[in-house]
Parts: sequence; structure tokens; C-alpha cells
Amino acid sequence: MIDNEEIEDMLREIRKNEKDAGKRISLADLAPQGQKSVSLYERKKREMANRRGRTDGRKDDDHRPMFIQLGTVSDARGSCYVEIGDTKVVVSIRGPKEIPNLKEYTEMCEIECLIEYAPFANSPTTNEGYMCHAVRQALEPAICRHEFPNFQIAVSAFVIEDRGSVLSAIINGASLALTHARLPCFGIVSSVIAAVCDDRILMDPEYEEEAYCQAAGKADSCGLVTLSYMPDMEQITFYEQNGYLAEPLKMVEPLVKKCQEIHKICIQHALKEAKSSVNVLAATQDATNSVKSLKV
Amino acid sequence: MDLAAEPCFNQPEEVCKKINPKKYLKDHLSQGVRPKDNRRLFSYRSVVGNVNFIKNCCGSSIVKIGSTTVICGIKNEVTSPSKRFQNKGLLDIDCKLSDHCNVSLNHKNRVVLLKQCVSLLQKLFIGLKIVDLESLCIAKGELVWLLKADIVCLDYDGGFWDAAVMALHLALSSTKLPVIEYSPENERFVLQENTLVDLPVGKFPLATSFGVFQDFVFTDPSFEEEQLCSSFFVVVVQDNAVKITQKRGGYPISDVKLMECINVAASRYKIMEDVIRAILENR
Repeated sequence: MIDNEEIEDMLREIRKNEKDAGKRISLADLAPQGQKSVSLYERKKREMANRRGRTDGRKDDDHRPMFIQLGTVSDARGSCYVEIGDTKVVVSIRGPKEIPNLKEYTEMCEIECLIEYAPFANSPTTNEGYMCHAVRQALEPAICRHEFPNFQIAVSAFVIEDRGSVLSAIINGASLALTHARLPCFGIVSSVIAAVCDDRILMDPEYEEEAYCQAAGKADSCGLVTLSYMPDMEQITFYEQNGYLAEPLKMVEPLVKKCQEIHKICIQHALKEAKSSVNVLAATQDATNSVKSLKV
Repeated sequence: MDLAAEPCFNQPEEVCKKINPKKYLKDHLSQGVRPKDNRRLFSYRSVVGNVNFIKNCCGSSIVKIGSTTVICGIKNEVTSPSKRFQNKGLLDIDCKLSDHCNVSLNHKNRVVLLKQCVSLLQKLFIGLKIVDLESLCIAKGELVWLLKADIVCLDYDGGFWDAAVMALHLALSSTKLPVIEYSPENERFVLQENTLVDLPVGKFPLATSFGVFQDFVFTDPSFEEEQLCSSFFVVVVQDNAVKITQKRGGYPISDVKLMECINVAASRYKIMEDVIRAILENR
């Protein structure tokens, strides 16, 4: 039997070895020589250059199938699980609670946003901070922030698997979680990412498509466009474009249209939730009435 | 003040619970019933599981016990072995609570809890050879597998250890590793991506946690009960043999109660083994 100390010893030694970049062996080095160059990224590059369809057989403006479940986290005020294709995200809402050590009166409630990648998700990226900022900006116009002065609402998201379009999944999920938390909102925000490469607009890009469109600098126009839209108020809550686009304004219309389609799916879930809560309310009302009648 | 956690106080039961939670729990337990979900003292919450739901891990699993949700993902890497154990690969286990878990667990408690859990898992899976480290060896002294197992708790409602043990075992049993062979003509190791082999994993260990509250002992405490319990007790059973018993906390427990606990844990094994088999067959 090996005891814990020996295990710790081995771990320490192997971790030390890993730090020396020269000694480090990675799985990619061991790939057979002929195939070594054909990584997924390379394959995607060829595919884009040849202007063929997409790897999963979608059309350019098709969205991957979406799965939504409300109330996944038991002890949070509101929570939502979103799956877009293979991308899996859990979002939960806590609060509103008081901001600790507050010196000044804040008229609007603050939104605190935390995004965490699973250690086994696709290479943990460094842009979590930026994504937090984006999610906050996308949600701020939707929440009735004036209702909770001096309070903060915490939105935390956990990315189980990243296969592209994480940001839009988080925004969709967070907005639905807000309705599940019964916080006053002006509407439900839905969000879509599009990858642009020359004159192709790929809705809801996959991980490799995202990587390619961000990296390819030579094409006439390439980049990622994120848009979140609130159809109830006809407002664009967040728009961002990374990369160079020949005609930026041309992008808005198809993205808004896509957002409206997503919104239709989202409201169905919100409606289901509302119906069930109304049913619960009615049931409790009935129960209290019958208890009262018993006493008399 | 947390508005979310504020319950409605129009029911007398809620008021009792808020004013004197210990008496509330004690009154329930002396009647042989648990508060909230009306379980018996030694009954367990329902267990649900699934494997291989994350595509870019070589093995993954999700386990739900009641509303406690734990996911485990395993990533494979290769490395050169340590000098002392030339023919042993490594399984690196790490536990983590996500932001979704109850924030009232303060930071120090979290770290201690997770360290204890990692140490138990290491003893169980590596020490008792549920995963034989020698089977992770590709070429002696040259190349070994390094499996990185990360256990993440998405929803904390007590019974994290039970779920962690089960999730790690499920993830390991669903792990498929590609074959690496030495090719003499290239004079290097070559990865064969298309041929996948199962990782040999030993029999399923079943962890059952008990909470000790005053004179009462009960299985599978939920988060609310866990906060009131003075000590905890974990029994790990594998095939009618008790492998590990651990007790945390200072409250004494009589040996009659202890034997009872061990019997309860052992009697669960047959049922849970079938559950695990069903989960693994359904993949």
C-alpha cells in the first residue's frame, strides 16, 4: 500500500518536471507524423477556404439545438442550465443583498458577475474578466435596478464545457435565471454570436470556427460579433465587434432577427415557470381556505 | 441580510425552526422522522448518475444525490515518471466547490473540507489500488499517463463525499485511453488516436456518510442538518468488506451505534452496485 506522503512526493516531482518546458512532452508530439499537421483548427481553415458547409452540416444561419432547464441549483434564488449544442453552462442568481462596507448611497442596484471555467473545459481562457463585464453590460438595462438601491445582485456562471458561443449561452441563461428568481425585469434578453469570414456570416459558431475567425487576419473582413437584444423593449443591450468588418451595420439586422427567434424559445420556458408558480399559489390558497373552514 | 433566504413566517413550523433549530431537529429525530423530506433515520436520498457527457474529456460523470450535484472530468496527459517509481503513472485528484454552492460555507472551512476529501479519495483510489498506478505506465522509466481528475460540486446540499467517491469511480470506469506504441522506424512513441482501451478499474467503493447529532445517528445529512451535526462519520464499503471508516468532529459515538452504522452501509452495497452497473451499461 502506498501512503499519502508518497503520493504527494510523486505529485510534487511530476509537477516540478512539468514546469521545465523543455522536458515537457505533450500528447500532440506523439501524434503520427503524417497526420501531425491536420489538427481540427487546420481542417476548419481548409473548410473555410473551400467555402464548403460546416462540420456539423448546419447552414450558415442555423442555430444549434438548445436545451434550457430552470431551477437547477437548489439553494440559489434563481438558476438556469443552458446547453447549446455541446456547450454547457449553469447560471445562478443570488441576492439582492446589501453591499458590505458601503460609504455612499447608490441609487441603482449593482450587478456582480462571476464566471468560472471548469478545469476540464476547453483550455481555460484568460478572458473571464472581460466576459464578466460583457454579461453585466448586457443585463443592466433589463433589470429594474432602481427597485433595489444599495443592494447587489450576484450572477455566477459555471462553464462545464466550452464548444463555442459561451458568452451568448451565459447571457441567455442569466436572463432566464433572473425571471426564475422573480426579480423585476423589463424583459428577457437573448443573445447571439456570429463569426464573420469574408462574406460568410456564421451564426452560433463552434469553438474552432470562433478561433479561426479571430485569428485569420488576412481576409477582407473577419471577426466575431456579439449582440444581445431585448425584444420586449426593442433595445439592443450589448453589441460588440472584434476584428475588421467591411460593412459593420449590415450585421445588426440578421443578428436581431436571430435574437428574436431565440427569444421565442426563452419566453416559452419563462411562461412555463410563471404558470407553475401561479398553480402553486392557487393550491396554497385552496389549502389555507380549507384549513380555515375546518377550524370553524 | 439575504432576501432570498428569508422564508415565510406564517407557518408555525417555520417559526419553530428559526427560533430553535436544534430542538426542531431533535423533536423530529426522536419521532424517527427527518424534517423537510420525511425520510427515516437510515434512509437515503435518491441517486442519479450519467457518464461520458463531456465530449472533450476522456472520461466524465455526473452524480446527483438528492439535490447535491457533483461532476467529475478526467483529462489525460503524458509525462515522464518520477525517479523513485519508474513504472507508475499518476492520478491527480482535485476537488473544488463552484460559486453556485452555498456561500455561507466560509473560506477556511471550505479549504479544510476539500483537503480532507482529496486525502480520502487518494487513500481509497490509489492506496487501495482501485486504480493500479502500474496500469498507467506506457514504457517503464520513459513515459507514463498522468490522469487529472477534477471533481466540481455544482450544488451543495450535504453528502458531498458520497457523491465525490461515486463520481470519481464512474468517471474512471468510463475513461478510455488511446494506445501509445513505440515505433522503431521513427524512433519515437506514436499515438494511435483511433484505438481506445478501457482503463482497468477495481470494484465499486460505496461511501455512506452519517451525521451525529446528540444521541442520534442518521445517514446522508442534508446541508441544513449538516450545519447542526457535531460530528460526521464516513464508512466506505467494497464488496462486504469495510475499507475505510473516518470520523470527523469531537462528539463521541457508542460502539453499538458504530456497528449499526457499518451494517447499514454494508446492506446498501448490493442495491447501489446494481445502480452503478445500470448507469455504466446505459452510456
